[in-house]
Amino acid sequence: MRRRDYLGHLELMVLLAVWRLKPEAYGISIAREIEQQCGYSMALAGIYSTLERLQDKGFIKSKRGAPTPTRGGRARTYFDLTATGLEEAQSTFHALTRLAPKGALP
Amino acid sequence: MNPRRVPWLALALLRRFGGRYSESLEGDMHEELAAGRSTFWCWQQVARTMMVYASTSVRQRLVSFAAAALFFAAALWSIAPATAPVMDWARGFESLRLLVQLGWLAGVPFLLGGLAGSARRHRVGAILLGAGLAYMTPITTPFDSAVCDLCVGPGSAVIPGAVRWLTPFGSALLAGLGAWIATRISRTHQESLA
Repeated sequence: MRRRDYLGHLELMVLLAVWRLKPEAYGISIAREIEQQCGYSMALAGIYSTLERLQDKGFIKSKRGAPTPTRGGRARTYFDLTATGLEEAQSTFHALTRLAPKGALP
Repeated sequence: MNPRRVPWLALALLRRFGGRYSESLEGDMHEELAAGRSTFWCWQQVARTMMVYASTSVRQRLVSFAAAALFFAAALWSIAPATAPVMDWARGFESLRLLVQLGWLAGVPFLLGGLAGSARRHRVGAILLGAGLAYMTPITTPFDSAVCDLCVGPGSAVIPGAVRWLTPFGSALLAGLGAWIATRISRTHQESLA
């Protein structure tokens, strides 16, 4: 039987940020969204390494944008949830909500 | 006013340690600098990229890392007595003594860093990090006696605490230099093939 890939705390945050930002989810926008919504200042490398793990688990897919001069001729990589990723984000989020004691969530 | 640019050394380190999305990471840095971020922020990101790389290598290959650290520590402790006569003999020749000590303090870390820099797999990276950790641990005898001879004086047995703990950082910097040179060589080679 295939072992199920569970989501870690950071992975869930990044996955939700990608979901929220799509189709404009890329490194900086994800870091900014997490900082604004959760107050966590994540390094870009941390974001990308989490995205790599999520992609390896099959929860997100990436697409390269066009290179721009403001980015030194480098292209943005945009991320989007796969069907499995969406399902996993929903089920993990619901599991956490169900586990929370009554009255703990506003 | 000229827009700030990502320092070339920062770019080289990002390319090496940035993982699958190093190019996007590089572009993000350019974009943030153009938006007003400081060069200090840029270096912070580079340092964190390298830390993420090291922790990923260790986490993904924890057994390889621990085994390498233990194996190299044990190996260094075992060969330490054998190196004593060589060190004693080398002390008789000023230039040779310097060469042997520099070999221990600079050559080995430089070589380990170079190998780590050219490693394309996390397992190899983890083994080299383990080896580097074992080597640069100040209790490792060959390293310790080389620090004694070079920094305090020939035949000295006592090392001041600050020297004992700071010398590994110097060696770590040399390891980084070795890694950087290996990266440049490997990149040039790949470009020439393409």
